[in-house]
This record gives sequence, C-alpha cells and structure tokens, in this order.
Amino acid sequence: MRILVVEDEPDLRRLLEQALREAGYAVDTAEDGQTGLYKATTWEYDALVLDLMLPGLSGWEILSRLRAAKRLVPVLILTARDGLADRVRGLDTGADDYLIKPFALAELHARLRALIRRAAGQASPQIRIDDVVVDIAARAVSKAGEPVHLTAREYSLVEMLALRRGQVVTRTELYAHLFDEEDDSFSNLLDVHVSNIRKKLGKDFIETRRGYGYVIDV
Amino acid sequence: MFRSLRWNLLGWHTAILLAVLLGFGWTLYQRLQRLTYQRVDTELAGAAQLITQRTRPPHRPHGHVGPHAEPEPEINIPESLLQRFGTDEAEAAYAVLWLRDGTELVSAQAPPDVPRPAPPPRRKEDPDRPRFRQRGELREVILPRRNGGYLVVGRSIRSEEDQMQRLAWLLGGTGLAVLFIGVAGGWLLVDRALRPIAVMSGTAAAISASNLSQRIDVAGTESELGPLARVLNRMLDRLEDAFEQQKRFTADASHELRTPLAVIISQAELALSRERSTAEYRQALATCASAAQRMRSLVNGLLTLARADAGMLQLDRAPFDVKDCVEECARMVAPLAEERHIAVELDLPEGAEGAAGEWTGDVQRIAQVVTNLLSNAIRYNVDGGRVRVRLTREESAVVLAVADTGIGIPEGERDAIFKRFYRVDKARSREMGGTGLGLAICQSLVTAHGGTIECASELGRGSTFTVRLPAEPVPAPPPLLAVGAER
Repeated sequence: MRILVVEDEPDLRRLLEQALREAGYAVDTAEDGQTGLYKATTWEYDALVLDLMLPGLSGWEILSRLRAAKRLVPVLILTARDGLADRVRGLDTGADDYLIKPFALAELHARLRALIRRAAGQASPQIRIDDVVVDIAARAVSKAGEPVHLTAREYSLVEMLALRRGQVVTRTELYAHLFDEEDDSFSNLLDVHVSNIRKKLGKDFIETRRGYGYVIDV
Repeated sequence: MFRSLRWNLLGWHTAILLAVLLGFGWTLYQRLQRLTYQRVDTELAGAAQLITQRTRPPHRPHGHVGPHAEPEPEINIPESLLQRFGTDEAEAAYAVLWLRDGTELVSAQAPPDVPRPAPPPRRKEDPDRPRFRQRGELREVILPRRNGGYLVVGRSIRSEEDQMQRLAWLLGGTGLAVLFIGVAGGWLLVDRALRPIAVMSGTAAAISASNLSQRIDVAGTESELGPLARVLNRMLDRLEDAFEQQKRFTADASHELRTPLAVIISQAELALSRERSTAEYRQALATCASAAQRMRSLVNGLLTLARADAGMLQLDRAPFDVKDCVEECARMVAPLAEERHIAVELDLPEGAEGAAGEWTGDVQRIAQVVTNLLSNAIRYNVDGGRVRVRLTREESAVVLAVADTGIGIPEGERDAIFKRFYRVDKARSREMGGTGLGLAICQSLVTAHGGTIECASELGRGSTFTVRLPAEPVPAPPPLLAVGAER
C-alpha cells in the first residue's frame, strides 16, 4: 500500500513518513502544494494524507483539482484547522476523512486502513480465503487458526491481492502500490516475495497469470 | 409598553387634539350663546321701545312732571306688538306695565307674579337705558318710563335654550368623532413613522456574531432615518471586520500552536511504539525539544501581544543610550549575519548634531524591536547582502532606519506584514524559524512607546523599516481592537 503525505512542516513530515513506513506502507512525501499535486496526479496511491495550509497550492485546491481529474484516491485531510466550516468544506471538496492535529498515530493508522479497505469495496476488516484469514486491522495473517509471520512487504502484497480477491492484479500495479519512489527494487524482487508467501501460506494461495500478474482465489 | 415612543407620541397627539377641540367647541358655544341672547334682548328692547311710544302719556305744554300730577289717562298695552314673537304659549311675549301710581297693567300672555323691578342703581349715568334680567327661562327687558313706573317686556327663551342644548350635543358628538378619527390617524402616522425603525431594529436584532453579513436596507428608509441606517451599517462593517480578524487570528494561532504540538505528540508516540536505538531516541527528543521551543516563542509572542492589546504592557521606562542598545543588538545578530556573509553596517554618528544619545523608554523592549528588525533584515536578505542601520535625531524624535538588500516586499503586502501570522512567503518563513508574529510585536511595542513603525520596500532591491520614537514620551493610544494591525 502506497501513501502520499503532503505536509509543509518538516518535522511532522519526517515523523509521518517514519510512522507510516514502520506500519508497512510505502510512503512518498511532498513539502508544498505543487509537488503534492504533481505526485498525486502522476503516481497511483492507495491513500493521500493532506495538510490544508500549504505554501503554493492550498490543500483544498489540490483536492478539487485531483477530483476534477477524476482521481478516486482516498484523501485524509490532516490539519490544525478544526473549525466546523473547515471540516465541512474539506469533506465537501472531496476528502474522505478529516483528522485534526494534534492526533494519535493509532487513530491515523486506523483511519487510513478503513479508507483503503472501503476504497477496495471491503466492509469487514477480516478477509477469509479458505483457511487463511487476512486481518487488515491487526495487519496479521493466520492459516488454520495458527498465526503466520510475514514481513511488512509480504503482508502488503497479500493484503492487496486479498482486497481485490478474484481479480488479476498486474505486476505494474503491484510495483506502483508496494514500493515508493525511494525503493530501488528490481523486478524479480516481486517474484521473491511471492515465492516466500507461497512457502508460508501454501503453494496454491497465489496463482500466477504468466506475463500478466497474480490473483488470489478465483 | 406605555413608555414606548409610540405611546408617547400618540399620547401627545391625543392631548393636543383634545385641547384644540375643547377650545374650539367652547369658544364656538360661548359665542353662539351670546349672539342668541343678544338677538333676544334686541328684539325685546325693540318691542319695549315701541310699546313705550304707544303708551306715552299725552303731551302737556305746562304740565309738571312729578308725583303730584294728575292721574294718567287710560292706557292699553298693544297686544298686536307682542304677537309678532309668536302666539305659541311657550314663546309668546308678554308685557307688564307699572304706572307711576302703582297701577299694574298686564298683557294677555303674561305669567303670574312678574315682580316689580327694583329702581335702577343710583350711580347709573343713564337711568333710561333698558336693563335685562333673567328669571328662570324667562328673559325680560326693563325700561323705565319717563314719567315714572316701569315697562317690563319678556318672553320665554326655552326654544333658544333647547337650540343651544342641541348645539352642545352636536358639538360634543362631532368633537368625539373628530377626536376618534384624529387618534386613529395619529396611530397610523406613528405606525408609519416607526415602521422603518422597527424594520431596522429587527434587522439589527437578527445580526449576531455568526451572522454579521446582513445590512439594514438603506434604500427603503425615510430620509431622516437614512443617515442612521448608514451609520449603523458602517458600524456593522467595522464589527464584521473586527470579528473576521478575530476569527482569522484565532484560527491562525490555533494552527500555529497545534502544529508543534502534533510534532511532539506524534514523535513521542512513534518513539515509544517499539524499542529504538539510543541515536533514534536522541533524535526524537531533539525533535520534541525544538517543537517545544517553537511553542514557547509563539506563546511568549502571543502573550506580549495580548498584554499590549489589553493595555497591560508593563514598560520599565528609564533613560538609556539608544546608540549602545543598537550596537548591542547588532553584536547579538552578528553570528546569524556571518553565516550568510551579510555585512551589517552601523551608521550611528557621534556628536551633538547627529547623536541619538539618551532616550527614555523600556530598554529591553526597544532592544527586542531592534533585534527583530535586524534578524528580519538578515533572514530575508540575499547571501552576501548588506544591512544598514542608521540612527538619527530629528527635531522631536529618535529615528532608527534598518535597510536591507533583500528580496523586498510586494507593494500590496506592505501593510499586511504587520498583521499577526502574516507571511509573505510561508515556506521561507518556516525554514527560517519565524513565528509570523515578529513585526506585529514590533509594532505593538513601538506603539506602546508612542512611536510609529513604517515599511518602504522595492521588490528585489530590499526593504527599509523606519522606527520613529518621540523624544518626549507620549502616552500610548488606547488599543482600538484586540486583534490585528491598526494600520
């Protein structure tokens, strides 16, 4: 899962990046409005964390331009502006959630998980595939009731395929969502992750559509 | 309710109308009554004259007039003369004639017991003049006879009195009707006059802190109320402006304070979320410390401004040397200037003519202003630029000018830069660690000393901030608004 953080306060930007990375997300950052809009319209993100008071373009402007460009990415506004009018305006401009600074990291994580889950059309935080259960809230996977240890990358891969269960996810999409711009990955790394997951969850858990992508549970 | 303007106006209106009606009715009634009696009297007097002529005793050439004269010849009252008043019993006239010898001659219609008139008072100049008397509803004229005795002619004036009665009723009724119509008209007029006021007060009442954009409709108000409406509207404009500034300031202050708070909380949470290396903890604590530092300077700045707004800024006024103060401040910012290779030139001439010398004020606060202006001049300068500080004494003021060779300030923003949290370039200001309060604080401190601060700037060439401190300490003007620059 790849997230863009648009925040002009350097300390907070660095903190958010670190916290989200530690939670297993791939994270890109932007320190002003123009960069934020450029990145949001150029790459595919699973969620956007957007400040409102930004130099250059304001958060509202980024949001309305993003929605005008038919970008459906879930947007969480993270701002110190706590007025009712600001919250209403933010949500009405096209934001999916609104969180006020200062905030608890746990809440930010929970809201982001909910946003990503709902964007995938999944209402429940637990996805059951045969005897494998993917718990999105706990970021944990179990097989036949036994917890299975996955690395953050592996988990993200499983989560993404599980959220789009029954659909083929292309390699390009997987690259776009699992790795951020700082990742210097080779294409075969994806295959390494997939083979590790198969070792842990069973050979048939992930099917390969050769030259196309991967799919779970057809 | 009855103390209201409406009832007051209506009360006065009614009272005046009542007074006019009463005065008019009373005068009219009195005048008509007098005319009626006069007419009756004239008629009676005329009849009496005629009767006297007809009943005059025959002329005697040698006759003596006196009590011992011979008895009068037979006299008859000419009834025909009385009949012209009408034959109806109620208004028929009558005559009674007392002869000199006491004989009483009574006409046909006379009521019984007409008293003999008393002799006229002695002092009357003309005893022959007719006198009038009223007996109940009977009006009588008394005419003394030339040779003694009296003639009384009278009649009932009941019909006249009935007429006056009817007139009184008519006047009273009409008066009441006029009063009623007048009061109703007055009510309508008062209502019409007060309606714009009611509309205005309704509009004013509907205006609250959350809804200050409404205005009183000036086009619909009467000419006298127009200026009032406009005055109210201008007041509302100022109020809305002040509220808007207050709201913006609160939002800004909240934003500025929440951001470092968010850093501290998130950093602490993140650091505690798992085991970290010492270097990581060190980094986390450093981040928290710098965010806390920023909050401290924000809170200090906001407190200074709040005190200045409330007029509670304590100034320790004492004489000090402005030149020394400026030199000290320049030493303090020297490392910052060196870092960016900026030359700070001090132009502080000695001597009686140019020296600023001693000045009375709060040295700490003035130093705060100078340091702020100097560090701004360095922050918003180009690398390798210059800052020139010039101190002069004008006739009645100490003038400090801080000029830089920096980026300058766009023309439209030269007043705005003194507003709280206003930043020309937000990203740059943040990078420099500015709170966005520096110039607002400078202005507050200078104003508290009775001075002024101005900004002149040329985009791309640099800016000059000029502080003018009056030589004679002037009491600071009372703060106008709690928030925002007064410029």
